[in-house]
Amino acid sequence: MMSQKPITQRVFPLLRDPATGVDLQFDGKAFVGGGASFPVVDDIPRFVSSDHYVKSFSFEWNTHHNTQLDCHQGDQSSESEFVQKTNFTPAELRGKLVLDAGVGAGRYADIVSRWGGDVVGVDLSYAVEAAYRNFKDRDNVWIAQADIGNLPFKPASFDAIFSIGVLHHTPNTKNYFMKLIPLLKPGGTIAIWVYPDDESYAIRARWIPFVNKLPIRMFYAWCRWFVPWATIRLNNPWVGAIRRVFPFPTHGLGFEHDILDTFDGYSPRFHGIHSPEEVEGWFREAGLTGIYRPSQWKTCMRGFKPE
Amino acid sequence: MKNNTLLDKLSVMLVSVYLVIVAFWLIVTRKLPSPHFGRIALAYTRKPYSLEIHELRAESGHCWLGSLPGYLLSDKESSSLLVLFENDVPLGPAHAGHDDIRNLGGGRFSHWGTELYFSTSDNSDPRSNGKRYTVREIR
Repeated sequence: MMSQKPITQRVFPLLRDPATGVDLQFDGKAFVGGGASFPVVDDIPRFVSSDHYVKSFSFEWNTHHNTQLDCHQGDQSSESEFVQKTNFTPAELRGKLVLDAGVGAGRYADIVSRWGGDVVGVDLSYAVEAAYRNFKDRDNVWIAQADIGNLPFKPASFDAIFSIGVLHHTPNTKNYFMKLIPLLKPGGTIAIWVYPDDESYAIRARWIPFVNKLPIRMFYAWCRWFVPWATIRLNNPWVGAIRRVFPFPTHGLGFEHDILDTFDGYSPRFHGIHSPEEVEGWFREAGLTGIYRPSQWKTCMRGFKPE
Repeated sequence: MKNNTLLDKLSVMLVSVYLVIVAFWLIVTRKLPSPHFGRIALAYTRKPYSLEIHELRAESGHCWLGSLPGYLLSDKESSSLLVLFENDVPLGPAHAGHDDIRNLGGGRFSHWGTELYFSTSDNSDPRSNGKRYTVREIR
């Protein structure tokens, strides 16, 4: 059985088979239509058969299910970053249907939900299980496991879409971005942030084929040892030299954040890096208007679908 | 989670060896930047550097720039030995990411090549807040 939150009244009529486009109905156990059936497992609708190429995220977000959630950490670090990267405001999203494309453990869905938006959070990975646990008591959050390049929603379903730190982990950042645009209502808005083509991201890209050969849990155990060891020795130039060839973050938000970010930075299979001009070009090609960069983060971009 | 199991300790050892070999290969094939070990060794033979910074330039967000000599070991090559003081109170975190300095500020700074990227403790304008900014090399 799946819990019937109020948001389901709004979401269920929007569902369709991602392959055929046939409308889906919920029969109490699964979403069915046109001969296809998408099960609900552990209270979460599953529109994919596995976590495919994002196994590191399944591990990462179920291990760090609340590390980045403001509501658990008691700070506003994620909210501050969300505002900087999207320029969304509570007044703008209150009561709106918002798609979080690549919800992870729900770092940003938490914010939109607290602001009063109805949030649909989708992710290809089993991170949806962490997100489901985090939001099972919130009536305005609906979580599903789905591929953001092949989502089970009708065109023009959402008032707003955001995807922060996700699209560059797909096989083709631009193509996956383009697949989100039809889901936006006319007059709706989309905001994304992808990895910039800065040196530290370019260096990580060179490591990734090698780190990908390691078992996920072994690399994670190493990150748990290495990040605290190196961070408390940051003033040592020899450790600085290591950081030069193996960049790791020190956000000043605690070791757990930095361990998570280091693992996150090196373990994914895909790691696209992009220039601000490239990202702006995608927005123009998608026919969006009012395009602008919400803040100093180089590769965040916001745009609007014409009415 | 803590690194307290034998398996975790074994993982740390094996992954460390593997990553060192990979690093060596990537550096030799010039896919990674040189770690500048020679420059680090030289940095310990000089007299420690200190300076009061007068010429300050706005970068973006909370970030400001000051000029430094090129011979100092910076975060661009390794870890700078410079500490930034605001009225003799050390600021930090040092070695911060430039986006964090621009967006979060709060005293974060980075010595990058010949530039000091920094923010003030209260994100005020260092050209008009009446505070003094000095850097000192601390070993």
